[in-house]
Amino acid sequence: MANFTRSSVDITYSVWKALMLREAVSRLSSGRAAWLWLLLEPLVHVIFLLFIFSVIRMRSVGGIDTTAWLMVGLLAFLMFKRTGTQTQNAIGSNHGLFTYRQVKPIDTVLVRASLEGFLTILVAIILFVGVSLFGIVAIPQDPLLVLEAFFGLWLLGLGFGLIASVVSELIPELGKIITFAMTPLYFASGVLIPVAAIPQPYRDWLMLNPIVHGLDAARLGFATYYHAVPGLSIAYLYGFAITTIFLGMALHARYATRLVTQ
Amino acid sequence: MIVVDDVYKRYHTDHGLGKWILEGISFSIPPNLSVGLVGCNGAGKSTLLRLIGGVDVPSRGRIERNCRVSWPMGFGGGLQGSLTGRQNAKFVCRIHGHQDDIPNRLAYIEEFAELGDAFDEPVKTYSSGMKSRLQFGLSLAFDFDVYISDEVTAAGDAAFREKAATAFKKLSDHASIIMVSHGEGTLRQFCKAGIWLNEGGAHWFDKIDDALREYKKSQLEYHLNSLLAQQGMPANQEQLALEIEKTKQRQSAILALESGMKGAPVIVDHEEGLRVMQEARQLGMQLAIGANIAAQGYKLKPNMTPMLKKYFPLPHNKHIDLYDLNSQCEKVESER
Repeated sequence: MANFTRSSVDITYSVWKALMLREAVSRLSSGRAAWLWLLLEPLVHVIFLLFIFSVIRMRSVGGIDTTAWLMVGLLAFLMFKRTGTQTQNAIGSNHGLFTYRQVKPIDTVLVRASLEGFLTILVAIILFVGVSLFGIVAIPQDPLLVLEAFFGLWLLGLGFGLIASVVSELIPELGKIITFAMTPLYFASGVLIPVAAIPQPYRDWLMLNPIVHGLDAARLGFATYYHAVPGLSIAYLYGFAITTIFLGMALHARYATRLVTQ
Repeated sequence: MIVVDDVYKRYHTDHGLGKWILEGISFSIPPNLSVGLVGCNGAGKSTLLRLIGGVDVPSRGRIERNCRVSWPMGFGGGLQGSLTGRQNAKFVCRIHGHQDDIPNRLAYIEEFAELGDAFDEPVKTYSSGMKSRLQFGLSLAFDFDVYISDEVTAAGDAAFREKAATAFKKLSDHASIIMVSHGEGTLRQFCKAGIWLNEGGAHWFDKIDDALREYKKSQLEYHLNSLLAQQGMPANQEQLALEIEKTKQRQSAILALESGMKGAPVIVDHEEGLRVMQEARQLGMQLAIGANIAAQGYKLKPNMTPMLKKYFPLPHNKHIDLYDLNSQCEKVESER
């Protein structure tokens, strides 16, 4: 008995490792060429938006090239969105695993978020390298700021996912509403419209959305001459993210047994 | 050693708190003792297994596990449908911290579960028998002190059950099993002691046979009560009389069985005997004529009183003894 007791850290670590491999397999091999869609989705999205922007003859936004502006914004938004939506379903799609008492609901959420963050970074790198082959400047001037912004958005996605996963397990109806909310959030995050160009007082309202800060910080990191929105604060993004993560973890701690037994 | 101390359990349902499933049960299971749980549907057998397995927590009371307890094997739980049997097996190895000897364990599981090529097919394509074989193989690949099985061993075919029992006997010097099964044969094959769950309470029996008998007795009573409650309002007098007659006949058949179980067999005529045998079948018993037991490959256990005596008027006015094949006889080992 005694010679075989593992410490809690050991157990959690091996659970994370096992879950990570399992999630990666099902994420990348479910359906036909699942990995291809990971790449194609943002690519097609950017090409479509680029087409519209070229129709209205916008060559640059806030001082930087439209393609770069769009791509950075979209990928930064995807960092939040994919992490958030994937983790929202983490508990539901791993219910069978709670048979093993080593696996806790929060493990599935954390692992999914990490996997999704990793995949999005990979996709972003591939796309940026691909685009720079076409002569568009896609090497960030301030890489640290870009990383900071992406990491903040990932944290925000994680916090969102932690809360949404509990909510959509306990109150499925509310889970659906959260899913709906993603589309308006897309429009209110400055992926399509430069928030700096929006008149007051509406801009201040939009600035309440932490994703706006993350997106513009990422763009600013790519080109330091970018006219970022006034009042940009990466600290606001991080504060918001950490608060949601704290809330989400509190929910997970509070409802740990409810989530497993339902 | 597993100690269950004054455990209460109820679930949250869509409309508030459900009713108590387990109400203040206490018992302790000593090491190396295999225990079967019996009780009717909804008595809380699976719930209790989940509590012992640590997947769920009691609403009140506490459960102590001073040994390594397996996860509760049961109906497809713990397997992800979209992944193959092999991938699922790897996952289980990893969460149990056996990263290094995955190949050995995989080989064992593959060999034990006998799934053939299906081992590399998604689990959602498996039949329930295949799933249970995989689950049983999975859990046997790890050294637990106590294995928890919810109907898994019963789901495979006879050959697999035999194999599982043999594999399990090999472990029985240091491991035990706690199981739920509706197959009496399976319970007898694996378990020594029994727990009968009834109306929120748990009753411990040192012998699984006693637990099964108590359970059956309660089933008889339940049967009788539901029979009495069933009487609706038939359309006419004639039908009503018929219904009453039928009910009376079933009632007396059940009563005859009950007194047989208590060791005081009743003498019945041929027609009544047929009715009793029918009721017995519904309760999962298999009445056989004493002289025919050997022909069916069984032998009577010592000191058994017959369940029933059936009276034959012709030719010698004597009665023949009927025994229950399942509980009163044991299979004769055929020499191969």
